[in-house]
Amino acid sequence: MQRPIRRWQADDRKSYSIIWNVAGTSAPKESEPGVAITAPAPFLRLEGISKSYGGVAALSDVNFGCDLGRIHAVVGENGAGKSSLMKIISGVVRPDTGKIIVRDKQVSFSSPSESSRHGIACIFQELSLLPDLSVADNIWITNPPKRFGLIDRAQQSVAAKQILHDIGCTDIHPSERVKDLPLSRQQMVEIAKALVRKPRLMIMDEATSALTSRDVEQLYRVIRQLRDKGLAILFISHRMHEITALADVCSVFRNGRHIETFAMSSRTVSQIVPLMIGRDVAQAYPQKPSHNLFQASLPRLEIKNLHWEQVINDISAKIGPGEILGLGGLDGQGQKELLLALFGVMRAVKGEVRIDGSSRNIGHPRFAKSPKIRMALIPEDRKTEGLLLPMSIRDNLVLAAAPELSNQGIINAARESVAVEETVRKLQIKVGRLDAPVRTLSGGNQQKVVVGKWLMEEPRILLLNDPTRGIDVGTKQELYRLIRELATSGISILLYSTDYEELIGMCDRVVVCYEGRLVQELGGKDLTAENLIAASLNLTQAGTQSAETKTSFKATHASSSTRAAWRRFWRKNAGPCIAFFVAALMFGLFAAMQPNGLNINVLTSVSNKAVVLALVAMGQTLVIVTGGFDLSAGMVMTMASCLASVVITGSAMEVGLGVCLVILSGVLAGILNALVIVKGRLQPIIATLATGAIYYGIALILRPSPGGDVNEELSNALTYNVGGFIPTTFLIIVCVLIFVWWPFRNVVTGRTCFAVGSSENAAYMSGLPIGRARFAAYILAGLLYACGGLFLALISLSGEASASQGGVYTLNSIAAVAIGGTSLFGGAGGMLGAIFGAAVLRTISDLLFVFNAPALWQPLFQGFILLGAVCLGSIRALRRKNQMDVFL
Amino acid sequence: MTGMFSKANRPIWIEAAFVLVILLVGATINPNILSINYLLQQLQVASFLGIVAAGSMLVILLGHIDLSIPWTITTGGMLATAAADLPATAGLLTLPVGLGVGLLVGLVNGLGVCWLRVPSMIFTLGMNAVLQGLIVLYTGGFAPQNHASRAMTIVAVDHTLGIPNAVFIWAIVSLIIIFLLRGTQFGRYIYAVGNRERAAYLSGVPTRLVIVSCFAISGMTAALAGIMLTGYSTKAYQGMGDAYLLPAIAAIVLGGTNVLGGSGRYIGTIVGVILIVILQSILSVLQIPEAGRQIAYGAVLLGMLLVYGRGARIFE
Repeated sequence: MQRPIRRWQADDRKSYSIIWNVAGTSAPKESEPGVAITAPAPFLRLEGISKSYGGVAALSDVNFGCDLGRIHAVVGENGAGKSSLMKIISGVVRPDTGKIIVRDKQVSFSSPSESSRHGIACIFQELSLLPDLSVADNIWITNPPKRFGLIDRAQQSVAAKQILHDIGCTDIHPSERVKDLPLSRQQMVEIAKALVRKPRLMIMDEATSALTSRDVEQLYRVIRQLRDKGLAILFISHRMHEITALADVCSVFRNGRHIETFAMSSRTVSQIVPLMIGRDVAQAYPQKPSHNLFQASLPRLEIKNLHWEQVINDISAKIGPGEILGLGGLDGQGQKELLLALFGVMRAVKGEVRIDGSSRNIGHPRFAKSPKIRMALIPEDRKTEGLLLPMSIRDNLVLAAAPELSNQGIINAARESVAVEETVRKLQIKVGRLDAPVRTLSGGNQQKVVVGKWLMEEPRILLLNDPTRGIDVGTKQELYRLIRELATSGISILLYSTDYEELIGMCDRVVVCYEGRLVQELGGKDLTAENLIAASLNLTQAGTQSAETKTSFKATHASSSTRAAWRRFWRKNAGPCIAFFVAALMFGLFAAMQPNGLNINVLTSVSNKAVVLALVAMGQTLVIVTGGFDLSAGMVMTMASCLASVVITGSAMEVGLGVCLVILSGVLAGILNALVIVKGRLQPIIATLATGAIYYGIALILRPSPGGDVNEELSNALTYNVGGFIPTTFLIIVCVLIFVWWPFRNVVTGRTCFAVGSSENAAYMSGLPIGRARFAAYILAGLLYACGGLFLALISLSGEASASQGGVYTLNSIAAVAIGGTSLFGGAGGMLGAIFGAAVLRTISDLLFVFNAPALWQPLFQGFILLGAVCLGSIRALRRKNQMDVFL
Repeated sequence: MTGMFSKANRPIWIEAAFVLVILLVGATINPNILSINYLLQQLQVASFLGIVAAGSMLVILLGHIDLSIPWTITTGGMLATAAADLPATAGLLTLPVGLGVGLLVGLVNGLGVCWLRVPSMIFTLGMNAVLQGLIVLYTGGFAPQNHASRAMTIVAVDHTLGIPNAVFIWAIVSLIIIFLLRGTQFGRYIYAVGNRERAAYLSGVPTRLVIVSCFAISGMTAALAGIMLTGYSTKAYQGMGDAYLLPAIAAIVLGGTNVLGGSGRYIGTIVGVILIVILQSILSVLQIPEAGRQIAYGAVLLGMLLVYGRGARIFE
């Protein structure tokens, strides 16, 4: 048995700081690379590891080790096997052969949670954050501070703040939702999340790719301190200067083989790079043409006084044919928005865009690529914006150019094939079959597909958003050469890059963005690293100190003022609040119209009317939060009510047993649902469609014809009131909220349900117990449906196996959850909203009745109110200024 | 090109094999099951479900879902009968009115989904409720007295060359869908939007138009099925569409379409429809009581899905 590494313990609680003596002022001594303070001790060894995917070897016979107290860089081109190696170490994939040895004991990881139990934490290139959860929840996702077994959110928030402070991110508020943060902040949260696990080995896979230079500096300090504290750090980066600045030891991988490991001090970059690519890098950047070539001709693209939403402030620029204009500056100064605005993504852009001298209004990417403009955008994130990963290489390549390659919308396969093959040849994309999913290509080749897709369009203006991010040295060189060739052929190029060297090496001129303005233009001899950095920090103007602190992220986000807190609250809870107001308004109207005033009998009847749907909707909430839908909800409820109509009769003892039996039936249904979904790996919506038929069948067996003899005493006890002023059913709902919902939200398993719904991949990467969380959600949901069925039987005193009733309850429960503001995509929401939603749906008919609405109009009103309620929350979609925000 | 026996086609072969197994098992108990008449009759019944599934498959490929189908079917059937009874039109308005209603419903659904960005599941659910309200208002809560017009009987009941006309219509609809999905730019856009709308949008795909069109087609196929069902059962009645929503989704998914969108072949949906209709029919021919039929239906569905419908383990 492997001894687990010491984790969170009571005595750690006083200080949440992960870096013991980090203080802003007394910066600790930074040791020279290659000279670690503590003596290295071996932590992890890999022996003879091989892994292949579909016959292609990703790793072959790798022997590798890393020591505590060392920063160990792993370098190599994309496809060299670095990522596979990291996935094996972190337990995401299992090796085909070979041994993993942690501290002299052989281990085998079947999931990230197992490797994390051995003290290994991994920061992945693809963020493993849960977008709908707060920063604090994300940081403490696996081992939160607890009190009485429940997550201590106050403590958690304090602790998160401390850690963010340690890594220099004072601008992130712990209760901010992660999806509201910009990418660079998300990456810092990711790093904080790995640190709080107090790992012995920390893997950083391209963890700095989106960071601003200030973050990187701060991070270097933290990493060195961790190293000095005796951590082993595995560091993957394509930025050689980062590696030379940080690493003590370096391992080179090539074609799935471990080539060499050496002390960093023993080699220079120019010695390492040939090892990686197996050939010499003659010249990093292609030759630039003479500088004043572009001044004479009419500009291809001219931007005049462009404004957008305080993010782009009065930008004017010109690009000539064949020119490469660089867009520089710190991350998040409006550069990306400028590219998107030019491409027609932004709404309400003020200013003028001229193409070849004539003014153009581009409102959709479709217009941007129209024949008169022919603009192309290589987006920031190739995985979510550039490519359709599961679709074939061919389909991806022809997507943008499709209209030109088809006959009036009908596919011309022959013409497409010719064009696709030509592009593949021209860009030297290494593909096996063109019908293979693009996902199977390496990162560099994927990026070539993105570029190729737009080249097939034969663009005249090319907008590039950090096109070489996370790409290996070899492919980078090819892309540089390609970009210059395209420029030479007459295409105007606007290149945004976070890499200064790239801007200097590639661009004819560079304009530097600062807070949405162009602060300086650099060209010719002025285009130097010093000038670029100075301009990026806006050092040429007053207020130099504030430049760095005011990066992309508005200070208001992190502020703890009451107003900011309210804004955060509203962002998270707008849905339930709206549902509450609608429900309160309706109830107020209803109460005001009561002839005899609002007495307990009226309240009880309203509450009894809503209780069944409320319980079913509360169960449905649990399932929807995990990102599923339970189409069997109404059928489980029907089955339970039929069972209740059979067993809840006779002596008190028998009635008690009957109630237990009814609830047990719901639990069993929940277990069956969870089994087929978790163990059978079926889509919830479709699995519950099938199990629902089974539950309905059972209901028919229990009660072939409507009827039953439900114990009236129990019915009276549970459907009247308590103390003459609170309806019993209302009290039951409150009890469920307190004893089911509240604990559920505050235990790790419950929070995992939110995590799974928010992003299943990220939850898996974080080593969360996904299966257990799903089981809990479905079983609790089944239990609540059964409670709903029990109350239906108690209220109607009989049971009926009706398929339509079951169906109506299922659909209404989803509607109630949606009206209550729970995201139907999972990850956010709550039972309280579902109760309001059920109340709204159930009191509509009463309300219409007291308003003397004609009976025939009532169903129509109900439909409109349902439709109106769900549209209400979506009105904001119409006001979005960035059209990409509407996509998930 | 992908071979006939490639992985993508596996569900379809398993499905087809299962149809044969059911037929053979049924035939050992009741040999009439293998008669041409019985099979043609099953195809005729299947054509209603098949037409509904054809349209909703496009919506599912987008990663959306159309829950307004039950009352779109009913509304289509009811208003088409009403139009048929209008004097002085000689019943010529039956089909245009019916299909027009479906188109309208689909357009509203599509606009709500792509423009307001309401999740399709909830918007179409609301639309279903609104349609139900409209029909209650229109009929006054009673069963309408109108009967199916001649045109409806022709499309649903009559035979040509011994084959029910409904089957021909299903075939025509199917050919159109197959052409759309495999032969046109629009089809490729559907898969692109279903895989990742963001990337499709940035490639200049008119994503809104694609979404609205698919919902419109789904509305029209549902209304067409409503018109044919009215012809088949001689009159339109409330709740006539209730039995079509979930079986249609089941048929689509059994055919290997990803319920989250982005992948799936139409031929699988056809076989899925046949499977479901044959299964239901044989269970009733064997005189199994309703409870047993439901359980068997659910169990078969689950079993089939467990054989091939399993999602991939993350990072395999």
